[in-house]
Amino acid sequence: MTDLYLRSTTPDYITGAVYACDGVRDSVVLINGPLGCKFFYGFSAGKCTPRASDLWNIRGELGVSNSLSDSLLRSQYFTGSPHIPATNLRYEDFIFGTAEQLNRALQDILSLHRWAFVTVIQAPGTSLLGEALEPELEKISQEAGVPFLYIETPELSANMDIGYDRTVVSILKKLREQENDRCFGKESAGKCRKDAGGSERRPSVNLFGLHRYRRHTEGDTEEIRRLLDLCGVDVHCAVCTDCSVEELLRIEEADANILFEPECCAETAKYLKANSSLPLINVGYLPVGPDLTELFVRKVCTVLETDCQKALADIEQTRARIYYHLARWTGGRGLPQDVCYTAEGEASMLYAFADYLTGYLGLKPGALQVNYRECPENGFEKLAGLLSVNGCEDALQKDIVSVNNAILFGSANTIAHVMLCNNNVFGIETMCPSSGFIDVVPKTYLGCRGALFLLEQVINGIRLLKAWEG
Amino acid sequence: MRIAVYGKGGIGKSTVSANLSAALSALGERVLQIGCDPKHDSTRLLHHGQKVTTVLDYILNTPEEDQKPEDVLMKGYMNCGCIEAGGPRPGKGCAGRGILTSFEFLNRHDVFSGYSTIVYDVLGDVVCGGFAVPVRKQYAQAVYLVTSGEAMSVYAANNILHGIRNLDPEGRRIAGIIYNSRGAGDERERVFAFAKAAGLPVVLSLPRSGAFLSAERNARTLVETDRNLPESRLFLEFAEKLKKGVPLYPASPLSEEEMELFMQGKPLKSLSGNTGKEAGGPAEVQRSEDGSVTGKRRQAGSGTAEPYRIPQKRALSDPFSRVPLFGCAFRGAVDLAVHLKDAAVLAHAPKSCTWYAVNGLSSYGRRGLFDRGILYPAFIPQRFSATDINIKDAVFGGVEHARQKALELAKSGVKNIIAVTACIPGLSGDDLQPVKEELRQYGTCMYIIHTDGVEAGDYNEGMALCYKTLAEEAVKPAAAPDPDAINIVYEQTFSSETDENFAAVKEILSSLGIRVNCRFLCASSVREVEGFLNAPYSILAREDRLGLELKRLFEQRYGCRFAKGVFPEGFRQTADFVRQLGRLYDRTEPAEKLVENSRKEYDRILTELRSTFSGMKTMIFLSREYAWLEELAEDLQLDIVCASIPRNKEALNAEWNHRFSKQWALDRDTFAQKAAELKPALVLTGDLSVIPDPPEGTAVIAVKRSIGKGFFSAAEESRKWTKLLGRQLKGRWRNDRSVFEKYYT
Ligand code: SF4
Repeated sequence: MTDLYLRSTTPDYITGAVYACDGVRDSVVLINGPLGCKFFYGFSAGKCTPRASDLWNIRGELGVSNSLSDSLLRSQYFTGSPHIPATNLRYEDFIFGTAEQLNRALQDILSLHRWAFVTVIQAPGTSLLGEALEPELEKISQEAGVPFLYIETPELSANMDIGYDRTVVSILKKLREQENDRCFGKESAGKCRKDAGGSERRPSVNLFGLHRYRRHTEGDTEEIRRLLDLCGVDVHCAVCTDCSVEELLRIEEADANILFEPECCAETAKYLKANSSLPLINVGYLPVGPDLTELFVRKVCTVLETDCQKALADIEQTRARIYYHLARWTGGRGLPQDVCYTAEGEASMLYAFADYLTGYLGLKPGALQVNYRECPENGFEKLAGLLSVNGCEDALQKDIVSVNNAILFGSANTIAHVMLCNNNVFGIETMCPSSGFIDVVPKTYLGCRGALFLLEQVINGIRLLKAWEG
Repeated sequence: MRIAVYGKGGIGKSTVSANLSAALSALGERVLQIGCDPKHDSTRLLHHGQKVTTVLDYILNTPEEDQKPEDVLMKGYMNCGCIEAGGPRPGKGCAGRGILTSFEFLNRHDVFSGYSTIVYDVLGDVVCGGFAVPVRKQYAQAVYLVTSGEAMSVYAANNILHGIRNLDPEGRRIAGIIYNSRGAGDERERVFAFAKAAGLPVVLSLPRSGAFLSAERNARTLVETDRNLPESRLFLEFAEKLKKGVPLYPASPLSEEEMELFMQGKPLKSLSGNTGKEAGGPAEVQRSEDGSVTGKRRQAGSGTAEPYRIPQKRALSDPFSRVPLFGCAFRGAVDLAVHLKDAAVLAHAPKSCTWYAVNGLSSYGRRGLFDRGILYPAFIPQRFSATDINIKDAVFGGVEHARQKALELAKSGVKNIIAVTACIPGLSGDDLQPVKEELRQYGTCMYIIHTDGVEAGDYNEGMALCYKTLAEEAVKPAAAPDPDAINIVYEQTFSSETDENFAAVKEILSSLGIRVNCRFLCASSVREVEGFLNAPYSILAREDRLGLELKRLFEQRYGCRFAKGVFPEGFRQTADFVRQLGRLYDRTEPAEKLVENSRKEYDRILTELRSTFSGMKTMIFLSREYAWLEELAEDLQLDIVCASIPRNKEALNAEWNHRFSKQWALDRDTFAQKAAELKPALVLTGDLSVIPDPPEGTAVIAVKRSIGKGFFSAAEESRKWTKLLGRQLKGRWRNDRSVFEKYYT
């Protein structure tokens, strides 16, 4: 049942593609389709519009005044949100062709602002038409002097991670074509540690795979940045998370590429292997909990030959704090064994959570729902291995709704779904869509801060569950 | 060299292509011929009638990880490569999209790279985007048009020129015309005259000859059969020229009127305004700077194509006629269908559309849970199934896929399925009717809402289609008439107030002893809809164009009777409503009693409220009328010093629309000025931005489009206002806008 439910409530390829483009600040992504396809991004996504009071999503080029600007909202292409426009097609356009309306929309959008990059994505309906829009787009791109990426055939029923991954590659390829010598110039690698004056500078890295569909992308990026800073490493570019076109053009000036989960980075990894001279730090998971965070930090510092002592000290303090709270609250006995947790997510994400929740905190997994197993590379084996080591492999066979008295990690949709089945659960949102809780303080589940925040949620969640129960 | 041979079906373009490929192969070229006709017989003469696996069949039947290009690549005469793109069965799926998918496959597997010459054999009758794929720049460089002198063939050739000009208005893509004689009358003159009119050379003239036919009987090209035959020599000479390079021409099709005159044999100059052809004709051939040959353009002195003008074909091409709406019909229908508790919704759609729709409706569920701690089952759909159409379904048609999903549901015990179709099944022409018939044997009823994405229109139209389909197909003759029952029709389905409004109306009904029979369609069931006619009367919950259409449908189709008016707001409306129900259900006395008792309570509340509002200086700015507000203003004894209310009875269908209507033109500035002068204590407005910076002591209150229902609803609304009156605290945070702009914009 949950499988079926999750199939319809997890995002699709186009959403992944849109989020990849949307992670580039000075770019615009236009959906060539009816407003039906845009509506989601304009209103329902919750994350994609300044209305959600989410500063993370206020992009430099369209300020708050634009989010309230009537003329912008009245534009037939932006309808309701100053973000992710659509060409507002009608069925007639499917028959007579969409070029005319696409042209109008682009002229309108290009006249609004000087964008550094434009992506046009075919909507499900228009992707079927097989129209030759490249000449039209090429012409407008040349006139406007802006690189255009055209995604003609989004995979209709593939998932978001695949869409995100492939689109990141397409963006990199497009920019590479555009400015061949600036981007991926093999000669530029290696000189990186010297600044203009010739003195040694701190190494820097590009981050891949922190996509914007996670619940706390802003806090996640901040925490990774903080940890790396303690290692003496700078973040050069958070690729397609929060970066500019200029940063993307200069990604080869960094000293390494860090990739997190394979589900949304597999194609990117292949592409970077073939086209970038930078070392690839393929982490394979998100650093959740002190152990994985320590592994992550050591891995990066080994490759970049920097000192990880400060970061390790920070992690040690985190361990101490976790110990104190757990020991005090549980009287040294550990978390109650009659409460468990359930979770949905990519296998790699579940692996990271399970490593912390089960391996470190000693909380039982009740049911783990693996999403997006169809991704070409996924961390399923690793997850299964971890569970089997802990004697909990049956968690992969169970349906989330069949487990009562659980801390549930998932999207607000899944939390609502499980609650509707009358289960006693405490929901912790790990991904979008959210319930609408407005995060004024950026939060994260990653690194040291994430480990503490998760523990706080788990302890209080268990207390509430027990109270409801009893 | 990449060549496309276009022509009308049956004109001999496959014979021409195959002989051309054979001739080029004979001259040492490494040739690949790709047939782009769903009939997949283009390369037959080259590979001698081998069993063909078309690219599309292959993609359909082979898992992606097992796909290999050699499985679709046949070897033909002199080792030339033969590929057939194939297509869906006639009447199913989308053939044009099929071509695009095949080409994506060939590109992905780098099939083109081993060949020096690619010949595309393309059907020219169909000129949708998909069939234009081979002409796109990265595929064919030169296009040949095969035609006989028959009218339809010449028309097709001209059509292809139109298509190519649309694709590449500035470019030179046409290499010339290949005249394939049918031996009919003056066809040779006609073909040459057409070529002249279009500014193109006839590069090859093929006589009508039985030799082609006898070679074809042996599944051979003429070139392979006997290179010394005069016809074979024509191909070999032509291939020689091709190898050396050919001049290319721009596509200059004849307009519809010109074509008509041309076919009638009339001179083209009789067309008024056609300056080019009058001034010297089109077919004068000249060398251009890059060495290619071009036809002289119609505009005297101009060497380039006329800019392509967008035809003013429909009113919708006017951008201002496109009013933004809430989403597509698919979404509207899905959002309504989930309200039927005992039905499963089957979205015949790709994951994308399903996700947009489900996420849209579940956002109400999430918000309800977070804001009010309420779980709305309809918005967290438990019986939602989707076909997750993929590209194969789009090309070959997705009915089978939908059938399997529907059968799964039926076998799991689902008795009612609401199937809603998205854009792609609409474009592929998927017909779910046979599935509906088949499901009957499992005792499952399927209601098909053919929104086809946007074909049915916007969100509201999708809702309308769902309402109407169920009203027409699900309602059954009255089996158990209940004189004390009533139906409620057309409640707001996406409003946090729906439940409260229903509860208020239900309370009134219950106090009169009336039972709600069916809520059409809100938190309802197919069972309730089936029994709709058991109730003698119905009430329309709200009145707009769609509500009235539904009412008419029930009245005309089933003879249903509706109570006058809608869910009542304010005291007067509610009293009328109650009295009316009293008359209809023969409960005049209890109705009067209810009004009387409520009157006393209303007066008590009003007395209390008047102590705050009586004589309060008030301004009103509204874009439509609110009957309850007029009554309330009077009962509260407000002192209205200025009002801007349009006397426009037209209720707007969707609130959104009014932003784009002329209502915007109301004089907001004057109103704001007046407010500054008069300094009212209260401004009631439908649009808060009308006074962005209210004078000190002025409370600006948003008038809700719809308030609660029942006797006390308006009074209770004004009770909420009391908390907003008086001094408005602004807070110093407002001074920090510049800091915000510094960091975030
Ligand atoms: S407009 Fe068509 S393609 Fe877009 S969401 Fe609606 S059904 Fe899908």
